[in-house]
Amino acid sequence: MHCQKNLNFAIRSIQKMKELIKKSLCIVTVMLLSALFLQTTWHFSDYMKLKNDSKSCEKPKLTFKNYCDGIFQKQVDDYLRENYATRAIVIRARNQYDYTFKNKKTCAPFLLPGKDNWMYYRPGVLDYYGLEAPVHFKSDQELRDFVDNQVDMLNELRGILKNEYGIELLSFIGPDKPFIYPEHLPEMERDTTMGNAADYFAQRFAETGFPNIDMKPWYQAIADTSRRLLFMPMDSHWQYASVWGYDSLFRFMNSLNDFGIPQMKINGIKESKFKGRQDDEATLNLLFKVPNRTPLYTADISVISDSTSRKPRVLFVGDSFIFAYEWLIPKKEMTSYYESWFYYDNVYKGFDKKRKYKIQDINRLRSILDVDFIVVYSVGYQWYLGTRGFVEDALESIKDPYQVKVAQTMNRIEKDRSWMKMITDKAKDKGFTVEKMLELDAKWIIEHENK
Amino acid sequence: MVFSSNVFLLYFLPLFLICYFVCPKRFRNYVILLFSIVFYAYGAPDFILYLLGSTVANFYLVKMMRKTEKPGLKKLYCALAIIVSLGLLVYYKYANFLIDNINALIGIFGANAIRMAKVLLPIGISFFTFQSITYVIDTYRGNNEPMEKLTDYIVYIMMFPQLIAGPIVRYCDIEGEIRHREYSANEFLQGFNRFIIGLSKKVLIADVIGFQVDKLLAGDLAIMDSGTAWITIAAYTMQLYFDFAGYSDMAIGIGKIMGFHFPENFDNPYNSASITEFWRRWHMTLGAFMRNYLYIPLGGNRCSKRRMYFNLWVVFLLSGLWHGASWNFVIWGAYHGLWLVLERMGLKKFYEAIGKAPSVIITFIIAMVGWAIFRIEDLNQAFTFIGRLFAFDFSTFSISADAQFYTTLIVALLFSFVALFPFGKKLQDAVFYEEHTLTGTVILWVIAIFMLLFCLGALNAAGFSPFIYFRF
Repeated sequence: MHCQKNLNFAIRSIQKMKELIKKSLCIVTVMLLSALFLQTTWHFSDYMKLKNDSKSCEKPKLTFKNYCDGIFQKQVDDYLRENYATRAIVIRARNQYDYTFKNKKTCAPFLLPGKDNWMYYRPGVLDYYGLEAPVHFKSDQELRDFVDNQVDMLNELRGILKNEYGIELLSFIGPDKPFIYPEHLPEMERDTTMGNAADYFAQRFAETGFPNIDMKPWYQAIADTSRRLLFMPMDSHWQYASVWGYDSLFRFMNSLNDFGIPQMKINGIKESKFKGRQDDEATLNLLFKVPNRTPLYTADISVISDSTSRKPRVLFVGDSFIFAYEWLIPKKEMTSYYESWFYYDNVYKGFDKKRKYKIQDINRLRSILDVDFIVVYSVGYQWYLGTRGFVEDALESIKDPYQVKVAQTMNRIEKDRSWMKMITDKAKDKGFTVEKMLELDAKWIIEHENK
Repeated sequence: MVFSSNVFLLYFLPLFLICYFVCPKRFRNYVILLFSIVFYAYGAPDFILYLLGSTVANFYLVKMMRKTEKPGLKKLYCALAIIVSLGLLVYYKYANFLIDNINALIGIFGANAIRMAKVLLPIGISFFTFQSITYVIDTYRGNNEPMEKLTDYIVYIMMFPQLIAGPIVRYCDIEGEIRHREYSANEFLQGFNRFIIGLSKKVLIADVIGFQVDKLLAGDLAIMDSGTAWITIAAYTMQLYFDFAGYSDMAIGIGKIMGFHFPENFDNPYNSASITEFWRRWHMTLGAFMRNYLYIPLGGNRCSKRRMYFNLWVVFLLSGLWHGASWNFVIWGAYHGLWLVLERMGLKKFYEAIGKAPSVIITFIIAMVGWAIFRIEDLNQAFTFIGRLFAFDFSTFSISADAQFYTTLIVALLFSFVALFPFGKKLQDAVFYEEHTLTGTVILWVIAIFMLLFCLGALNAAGFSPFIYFRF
């Protein structure tokens, strides 16, 4: 009897537990759906965030007219298609499927799979095969005219900067992976009707005496004899190999005006501790890391300086190859300040990565007049875009004496701590940004100095 | 709003479930009402007032009908309520069709055409009209008492799971559940699984096949080889089934989560051994409606054979017209009616003689040919296409390289016919209808969650997702 009671109790307990588990599943279901809702609406988690994800839809705006016309509903559909909760995972899963089962196929628009599991940046590959120039120019002459014009303007700007402000303007042409390791490139039909922008720029720089170092031939020369790959199969950037490039650059800068820049000493190359996704690998946006990748390397660098050394203030205007400087070079020991204009779009000021601005939001002339060197640089195929508007804008503003005066005055005030504190307080009181207040004060000073 | 949309899956459903289950039981009908109005108004803002207006009018007409003792007046109220529902259906759905045909007719005699602005069709009108008719007639017949509360009646008509594409739920089927319903974890999980099965049918099968069918039918049908024509119509046959059955599964599933038990709408229709059986398995709630509210009142079987054949044929003619205001639907209905009459006249005996498998194949082919008329609105084109089917010209036939389409089509065919075999039927019953063990429940739940995420991905990878039955 007692045993039967116990048995009944056990059965009831099991049933209760089963019911509890089922109820929990119901609750988890609702929670999961709610999580999808919350993530879609507020994007709480950046888990598996996609790299280079471009979205074209803005958040829909609900108005009575929009709603009645069905426009709002259409906007919601479009918006959700680009923002639904599991989008990143779904896209990665799809990419993984294509990459694994469809011969390394990728939907990353700027990547091209090469031979032997190598990845390349598409415009670079097209440039190697002579197919990039026709994307930008109708004829070789048009390309040459563009290069001539850009180089002329750079020379003019250099003359003004050097003669009137003692600032050196120079350029370097970065090495591009397809030109250094063409043996892994995908096969393509070569087009020989047009030349190559980077080569034309190098040629014109040499002809006009504009200070430039072209790193491509040198990297090509050492590629075969280097103990380690200069470019990794899964990375389009120059990574550790950039240290020689930057060493050459600083030596070259020093040779221009005997500035006394400290010297870099490369003590050795070692395997990087970074085990995350390499650049192209990240752009592939796969679920899993690519197996058997070549590891990244890092350089052990020391800086040699003495009492005569001076750390320059440098403005870099160029492309993503600057990030190697950020990661690998002891920048605080090499430069006293550096500013990077990334694709002439985003601006990184100083050593603090958080100080990020849009190019149109800063007073560019202030930055130009506040450095010792301006380095215009790009990797091969980027030269089809010249300086992306930098030289045009710089020339226009530097030829305007009032703008120059304002910029210089602003820089002068900024260097005075107590003055800056006053400006900051005033900006707070009046509800202006500090930059705006600084500009107003500078203009006020100029007006009163003239009186 | 459609079930297989981001708005529904990511916004509407989670918010509804939270509100529904957080709310005390006595307020849950109000939650359904509110969300149903939002559901309909989101996609069809122009027609929400029409829907609410006709529903309210019907509710009071039925109430008055029930109150009055005079049989004449009772009949009048009943007729009025039906006229309100059917009148609006005729106006919104058939006005354009009628005017076009009248104009074509009077044009022969040289008369000027009648001008009328194009009437837009309120989404789901055919479904909620039929539901309100079942309520009116069943109450008139005394099969059920009228509803006390207007809100409950609106919930019955407008309940979002079945509002725009069925199943057509008779009032007497859910009368009790509108007033009081039981909730259980089992029912919730079964409902959720059923919803995901429906969503998968729609997104992973119907949409994939449908995309290709549209492409194939957009070409010149006159030069289509017979192989491609058969593949096209087989694909459309699958698309239609998985689209509509998928929607019904989703509706039944959400209903179950909410504590409702909607009637089944499909029972492996392509496994039928005759067209008569096909109509007992395809869109079962429409079949039941037609039988109860049209065929039987016309006399049904209890009349002369000739009259019965006529009744059958008329019912299918009207059933065809219900699907759409276009001659191809009328002819499709007549085509099915004809086969039904032929089966009653002796064809059924032939089927019995040849056995089940050949009968199923013949019925499937008859249904496929019917779907050609159903799909291709231009009758000349439809008959050209049917001509290509039976031209048996395979000279230019080649299978294109769309592996996804063919794989999906094969999977669809397998799912459609699996229940013909005992193990398939057993498996289907186990997944759809039986109560599962705890392990089974957990496994099915995990699969359902995975499928939900998969469907969400597929849904956003392709923009093609029209529900075919919405336009009816």
